[in-house]
Amino acid sequence: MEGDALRGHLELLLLAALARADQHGYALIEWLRSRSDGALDLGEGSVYPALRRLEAAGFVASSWRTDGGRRKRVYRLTTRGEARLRSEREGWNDLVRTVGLVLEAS
Amino acid sequence: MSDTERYLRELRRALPIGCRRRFVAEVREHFASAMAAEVERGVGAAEAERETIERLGPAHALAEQFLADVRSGALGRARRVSVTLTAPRLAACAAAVTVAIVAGAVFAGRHSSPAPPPTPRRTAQSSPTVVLDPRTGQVRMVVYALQGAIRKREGSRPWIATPVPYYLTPASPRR
Repeated sequence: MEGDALRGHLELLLLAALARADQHGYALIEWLRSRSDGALDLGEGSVYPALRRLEAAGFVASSWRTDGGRRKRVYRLTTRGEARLRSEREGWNDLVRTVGLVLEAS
Repeated sequence: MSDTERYLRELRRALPIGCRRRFVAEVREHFASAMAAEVERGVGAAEAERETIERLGPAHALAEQFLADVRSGALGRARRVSVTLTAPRLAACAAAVTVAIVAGAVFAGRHSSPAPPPTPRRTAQSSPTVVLDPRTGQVRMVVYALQGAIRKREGSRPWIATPVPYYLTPASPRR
């Protein structure tokens, strides 16, 4: 699954990944890839701008941390982000259910 | 210069000045993590670098995504203002200002006559008030000198600041 199919859901996926643990950009990408058995082929270049958008909106916060001698920008979910994730998750479930109903009827 | 450094340099140049440091640092860290992971999987360093660049996409496209977010206001108003400050735009502004200054100087040189040399006005000597010491009869103060100092501060010609003895000549004979 790539590009267009993921567009619009990338931010939801990032919020979901951050709900599990604070992570830096590359770790987020790797986690999403492994979690989806490689099916989610994220355009890695789109992840960093998306993280900045989420941060500007107040859904995530970030800070530099040193890990293994390297400084990494680590992201964490804010309270606002948690609320957003809940709401997005509900929206996604509604969409899946609705589309499922239509497909089953055809 | 490695491909990574070339990529980061291109990215840096394409980003607004106010946003580039953090973004480039983050992408640099992405390179380090991604290449380390690839090498750990047994991929050669050169191949790991090539794959990382391929996955990130072209630097200009990455910068363009970021700029699109800035323009749309998705990153806040401050970022929207800073979008104008890319290095090429700053260089263009600096060049335009330089040209304007040079053109202004040339224009002013052609359309102005040389300033006349300052002619010292002698009105200062017309009515100096001399304060004498009552015991010795020596000059203690020439008030005009003080007035001259004040005028100088207000932008008069420097000659007004002529030292006090200059004014003593007409005033001294009074006793």
